[in-house]
Amino acid sequence: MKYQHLCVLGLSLLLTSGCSDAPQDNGVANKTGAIAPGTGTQYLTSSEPAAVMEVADARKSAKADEAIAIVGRIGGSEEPFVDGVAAFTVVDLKIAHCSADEGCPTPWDYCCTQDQVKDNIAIVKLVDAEGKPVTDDARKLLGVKELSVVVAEGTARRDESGNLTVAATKIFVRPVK
Amino acid sequence: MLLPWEYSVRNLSRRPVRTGLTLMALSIVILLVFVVVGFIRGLERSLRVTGDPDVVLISSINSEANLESSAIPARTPTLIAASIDGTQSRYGVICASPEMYLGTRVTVSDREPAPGLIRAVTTAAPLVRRSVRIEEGHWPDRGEVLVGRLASAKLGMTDEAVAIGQTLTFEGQTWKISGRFTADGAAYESEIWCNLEDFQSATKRQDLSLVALLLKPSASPGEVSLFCKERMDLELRAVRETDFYAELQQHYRPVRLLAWTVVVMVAGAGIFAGLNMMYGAVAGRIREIATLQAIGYRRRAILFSLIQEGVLLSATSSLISGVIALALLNGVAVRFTMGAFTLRIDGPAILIGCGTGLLLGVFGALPPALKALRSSVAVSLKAV
Amino acid sequence: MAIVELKNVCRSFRKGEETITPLDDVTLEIHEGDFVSLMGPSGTGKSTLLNLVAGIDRPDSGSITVAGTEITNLSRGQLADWRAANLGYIFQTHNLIPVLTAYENVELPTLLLKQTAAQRRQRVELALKAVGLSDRADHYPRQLSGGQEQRVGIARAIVANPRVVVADEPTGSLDAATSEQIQDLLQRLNRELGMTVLMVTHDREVAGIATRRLILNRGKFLPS
Ligand SMILES: Nc1ncnc2c1ncn2[C@@H]1O[C@H](COP(=O)(O)OP(=O)(O)O)[C@@H](O)[C@H]1O
Ligand SMILES: [Mg+2]
Repeated sequence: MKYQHLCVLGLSLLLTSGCSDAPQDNGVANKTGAIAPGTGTQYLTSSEPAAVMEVADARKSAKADEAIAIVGRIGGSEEPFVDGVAAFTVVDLKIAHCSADEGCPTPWDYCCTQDQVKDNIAIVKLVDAEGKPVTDDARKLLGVKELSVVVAEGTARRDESGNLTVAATKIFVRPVK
Repeated sequence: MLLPWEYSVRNLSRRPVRTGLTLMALSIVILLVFVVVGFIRGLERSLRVTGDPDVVLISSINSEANLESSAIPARTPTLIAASIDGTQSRYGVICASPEMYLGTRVTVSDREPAPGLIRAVTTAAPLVRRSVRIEEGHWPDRGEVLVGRLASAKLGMTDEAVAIGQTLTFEGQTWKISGRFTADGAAYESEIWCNLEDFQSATKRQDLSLVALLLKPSASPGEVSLFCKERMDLELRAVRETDFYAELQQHYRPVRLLAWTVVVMVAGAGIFAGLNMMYGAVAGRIREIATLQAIGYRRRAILFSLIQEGVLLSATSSLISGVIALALLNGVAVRFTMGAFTLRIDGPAILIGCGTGLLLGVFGALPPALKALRSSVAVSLKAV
Repeated sequence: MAIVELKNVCRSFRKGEETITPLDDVTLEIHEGDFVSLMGPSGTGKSTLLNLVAGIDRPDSGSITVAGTEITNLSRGQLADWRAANLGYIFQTHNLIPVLTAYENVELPTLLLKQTAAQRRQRVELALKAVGLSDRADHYPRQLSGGQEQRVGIARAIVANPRVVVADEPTGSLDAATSEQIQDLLQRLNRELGMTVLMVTHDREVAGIATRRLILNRGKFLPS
């Protein structure tokens, strides 16, 4: 084996000039237009549940293993959907997000209001009848995308840091006005 | 109807010095092409083989592709062990490797310090990094380090300088080399591995750069991603290791683009060498070419013969360079910012190198041949 | 029957502003088995005429029929094939390919014919024998004398058994003794093999071996 040290045509010099981080297309076919209805009809309800809590209130009052229904807007980071499981983060409706026409390619990351997101976010993970996480893509299953407003019905899970997870069995998608 | 093959072959020996010089020039050009293509192939392979599809890396959310800038809480591995069922266990140990990863200046004996890559690990590391094998020596005890096969290349030193028993200095501490490891060409081979606790105390840091998890084949990385989202306060990010290195490949795209540009430019220079020779060769043969046409050879046949001549020369050059590349370039270690890797003259590299060589012959011969064949036979017959 | 027939052939060249017309409405018939010599002052268009007959140049107007083919309308490729089958060209300087041996030089035209290797070898050997160079077959042109080179050139012109042989000052660059050899050879080709020869020369003595003598001047044939 040879260990000679070639400086190949100064190629390595070029490494410092990285490429700019262009926003990646995260696979949402049409960001503004209509989306196909979800295929997971067993998880979808057509009527909104009665007692719905805002995300911020739920984070304050919800107890572990309590039945709960929360409403929020899908977002909170550049990639609010979790790859490989039907789960996503929702942000309290009171928090403002920037809009696409302000020139923000990913308005759902709440880049202008990130500091408020921390206390107004919850994660919704879809579980099946046995309580196991569903492994299909939530976007396809529920017919939702970033910034969709959803109501998630299920069981609250809490941890010592105050994070709120809703293990949801039913999702209601609020129609776009 | 074609001209006899001997015509092309013997024409090459008509001006032996010129042909020899062109042969050399073309060989050098093709060798350069081999170097660059070998470089690209080596880089791609290094990144490709490093990723393990069953391994998930957990780093901080803002670190992107740069693990050195990642900082995650030290308790992350414990939390993961408690929350994620999908992690493999071996010999009763959960396959979760907490690691610190840092590029820092490393001094070998009394030499100038050089940038090296340090990975501080626990004994869980080899459970997750399954390609790692200790070639000689033993797993580092406190104050010791294990050096990768290409660490010397990364540091710009000889193998002897980082032999077992030698010492290295980094982060204000001196470390004894306890062994050498290989990793089937993975990027770790250019790293220096040391004990995590030692390194934490040397750097006065408590956090980790990343945790690498080996998942059960049945488990989904989605579970880990979900955990990272749920524990929002920890600001973690999970990415499958193969995806991580695929992303790194994207980061190196400008480098590869530049490398291909170099290939094209070098090949362009090669075409000029070929053109120079063939213009010279054809210019002195104007009357001869007209004679062949007067005898009844079609222009196509003469063109073919001239190209054959160029290709014969460039094919010989390709052969020479190919042999040199295989004998001297293949496996040579190259230093690079992300580490070190070895040039790789594999099938595709040979194909590209030799293909470029043959094209040099064709494109070097084509313009002079066309020029010679364009003028009228009657006029060319009067040429001196 | 005429084997070469030129009808009202014109050929002119532009040289800057000036137009030179070496061949102005030339009409000529050559019969099979003729040995025609063509004389005339330098620059009158003898070579131009020869090249037109050989199909390596085209007239501006008029028609040229050689060996039964009207060649003025053939494409470049068709002309090449036609030359291979019907025409032998003897150059002033032999124009041998320096990297090929005498044998290989003579073999070149036969490679364009549909023949077996054995037939080809027989022809080449015959042609070399006809010019008296069988023992020089493996010599390269640089190993031959000027006269021998020209004889190899002649062997190459006749090897494919062409209907018409054209020769442009074939003795022009040879000494008197060698020139005589070549004249002899050309005469034998015509007499013994019955080849039709059109030969350009500026030497009255060389022209003497021909059966028919033409003189070209200012674009026209003079009665000789
Ligand atoms: N390709 C050409 N371009 C321009 N002028 C030409 C060309 N070929 C021949 N000529 C001119 O035509 C005339 C006849 O030329 P040529 O047939 O070679 O004369 P000859 O063979 O009788 O000495 C000369 O004046 C010559 O300069
Ligand atoms: Mg002339």
